[in-house]
Amino acid sequence: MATSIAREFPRLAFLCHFRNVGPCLGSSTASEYCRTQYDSCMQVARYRAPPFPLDRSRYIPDKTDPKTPDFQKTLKFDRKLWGRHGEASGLDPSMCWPTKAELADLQEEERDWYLTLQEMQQNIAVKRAAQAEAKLAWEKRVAANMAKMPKLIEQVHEERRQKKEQLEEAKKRKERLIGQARERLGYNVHPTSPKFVAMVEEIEKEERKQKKKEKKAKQEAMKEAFRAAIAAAEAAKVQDGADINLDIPLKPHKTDQ
Amino acid sequence: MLSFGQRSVVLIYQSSKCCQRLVVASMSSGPVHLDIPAQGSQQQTDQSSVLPSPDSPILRLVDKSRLPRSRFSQPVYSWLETLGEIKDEKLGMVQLHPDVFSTHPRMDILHRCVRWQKFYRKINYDYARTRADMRGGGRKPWPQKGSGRARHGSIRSPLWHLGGKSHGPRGPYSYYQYLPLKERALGLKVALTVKHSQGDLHIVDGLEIPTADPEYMEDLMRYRNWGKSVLLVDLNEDIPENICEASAQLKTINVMPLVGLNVYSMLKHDTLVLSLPCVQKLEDKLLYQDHRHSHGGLGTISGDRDVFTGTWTEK
Amino acid sequence: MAAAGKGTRGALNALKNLPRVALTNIKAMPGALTKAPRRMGGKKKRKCGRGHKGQGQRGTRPRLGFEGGNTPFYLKIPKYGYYDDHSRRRQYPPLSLNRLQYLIDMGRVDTTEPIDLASLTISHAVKINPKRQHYGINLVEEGADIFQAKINIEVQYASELAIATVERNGGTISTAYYDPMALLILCNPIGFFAKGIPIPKRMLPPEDLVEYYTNAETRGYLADPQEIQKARLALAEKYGYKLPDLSLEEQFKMMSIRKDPRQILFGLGAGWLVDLNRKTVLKPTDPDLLEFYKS
Repeated sequence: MATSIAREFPRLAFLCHFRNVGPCLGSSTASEYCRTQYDSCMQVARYRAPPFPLDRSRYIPDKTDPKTPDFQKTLKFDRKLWGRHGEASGLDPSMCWPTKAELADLQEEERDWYLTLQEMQQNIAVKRAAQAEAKLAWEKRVAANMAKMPKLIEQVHEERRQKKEQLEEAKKRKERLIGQARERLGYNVHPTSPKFVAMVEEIEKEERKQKKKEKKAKQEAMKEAFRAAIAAAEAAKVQDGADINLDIPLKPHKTDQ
Repeated sequence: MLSFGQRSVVLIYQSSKCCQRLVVASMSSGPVHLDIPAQGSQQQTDQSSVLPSPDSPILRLVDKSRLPRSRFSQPVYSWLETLGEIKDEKLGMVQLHPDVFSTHPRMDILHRCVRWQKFYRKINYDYARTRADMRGGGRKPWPQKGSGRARHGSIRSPLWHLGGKSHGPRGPYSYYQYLPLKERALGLKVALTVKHSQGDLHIVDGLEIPTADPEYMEDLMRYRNWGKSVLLVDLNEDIPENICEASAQLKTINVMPLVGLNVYSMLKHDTLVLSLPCVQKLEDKLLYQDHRHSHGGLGTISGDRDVFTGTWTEK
Repeated sequence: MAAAGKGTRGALNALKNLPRVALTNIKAMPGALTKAPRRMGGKKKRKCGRGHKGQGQRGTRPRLGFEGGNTPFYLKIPKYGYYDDHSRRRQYPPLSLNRLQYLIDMGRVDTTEPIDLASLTISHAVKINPKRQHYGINLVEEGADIFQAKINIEVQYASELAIATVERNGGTISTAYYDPMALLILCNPIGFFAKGIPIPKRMLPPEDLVEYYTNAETRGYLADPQEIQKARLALAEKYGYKLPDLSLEEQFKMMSIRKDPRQILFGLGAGWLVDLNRKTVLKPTDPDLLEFYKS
């Protein structure tokens, strides 16, 4: 690696032989000289971290003295003393670790607040499955709707066309009526005048009557045809093997008038 | 570029009274003025302890083992002289750290340091009384209307003769401020550099003079072309009596311990004379500022212990 | 004559021939000593810059933001939750490959050891403040074209191109999670040791990060190593480079160093106590404690 740097960056070749500085303890204070191939000392760029204030004057407070402040009698303070001065503090390092009771508390806390990796992965799996399912359902719904689309489009077109036709028809009808009114009454009638409305009503009445008559006539005609057909069938029945004419239009009987 | 560690022989000559130039030549050219033994430069690995004999001046080293240095800088040199005789006898050569005696000549830093020295202890005592401080002036001199005169509220308003001053200087005003420590240290370095490069720096083994007669020093200065004024610096306050008496009687010759060394004095005096122990101490103190973290407070692992190691006599 | 040249040497050579520097011939840098301009002169005196009549001159202007009575701009605009829970969101300050290469070239980062956030923080290569919702560093691909170092690096987030760049140059990269307490210890180990508390174990990532750190494609520290190997090959195919065979390297051992999921610092395990002065480490012997710290 060092040689590759020398090759790639020839101007930095002097940096090639630097000392290892591990990321652990004590490395922060390093500012090193290294020996290059020319056997002269040279300084390698290194950040020299500020010294940690460790060797403070060692003061172990007297716990029995009432004058010592309360915070200097706590376990936390003792642990800090041990951390700063280590063995030289004269304190027992075993106080730094939790007691049985404290350990039990810690374990309980961990159980309460932290899930295991497997549990978490299960939760995630469940969530992902639900998400996938929801997505699938949605996609299906969309596909179904898309399948309906051409028909719906056609429907819309149809409706629009029909509406258009109706409008046209209504317009024509109106014009026709106006023409009829003019004929009948002899002068230009305004569509909103009461005379015109009365006239339209009359016309409608007449039309209805006409319709009824037509219907009746139709029904009569149908009955005639039916009777004729029966007569023909009977006539045909007599002969064996004769073909019955089934071309009689037999429509369902309308009940509403 | 000369890389230190090669065998070298120092060739010196004086050109003008203001300048001394030092030219370093290779071994092949050989010594011209002086008879310098070939192994002179190699032998001096130990501290500056015993003075050599005058007719074989050898390279004198100040203890550089603990000082940081850069690969790209070279030491500068100064003669080691003596005040014992009027005649200018060279006892040897002193190696000086380039970061102290050959730093970039920052004239603006010199100006700032001189200005700081002038102002930080200045207090302006000017005080101008306002209308409130003047005696009297509480009563309205005449009614507002009717007198025909201008309207006034007090006879001590700033408009009036003997009235108070409205926006005058108000009491003691101090110009106290401190340049950053590193800037002050740099000022010292620049001043030393300037003195050294202009040939006004002389390093002596000690401040002992044979007589307390001020004329001796005057003659010495005149003989050696030291200029009109000289500042002599010793390491501690126990300065030899003779020089103290002599300088007391003269205005232009001044002696001080190293703690009193300052930019203003260095520029005020034409020549600066340092005793040899001062050089070591100066370098230590001034270079510490370059390479320290924050100041070593109570109980911190002081930065000195982690200082780089590099010596100039290693081969 | 010493020729005046450039730089310090030139300046000192020039000084040799100039008059003696004294109190009388030093000056300040131009522009260094400026006095505040006095507002003197006809135009600057009469109304003292306050205008003519009205609230401006009489100093009775209303508060900032007031618009004469209509709803001001700062009240008109409705609130929206852009920054609602910003102080609770995780942050991963970036470390670009550019900067990493610079640090390696300058010798501030040692490539013969595994690089983790501790070594970067101690050398002040990155600025991480665990108390400000920083959860680690994010390796960013700026400088992917010039990156040339072979490193074993552990970050907290890395984009695909960054991973590809590191692996193409023969290095290894892994992403690992540090809970805030563990991150505090990682960024300032000595400060933690001085507290006299045994090193705690590193906690698992929260649920929304578990997927990231168990995924081989992001080189998560909880992922299956075999999956990671497959992902390395896949990435090499995707970006079109030949994956160097690490097992042939002399530094294979270094490259394959990984921290245990419960470990915070290299070389130190959970439950250990560090004596900074003696430079020793104390380990617990109680089986309950050992079980707790190993779980």
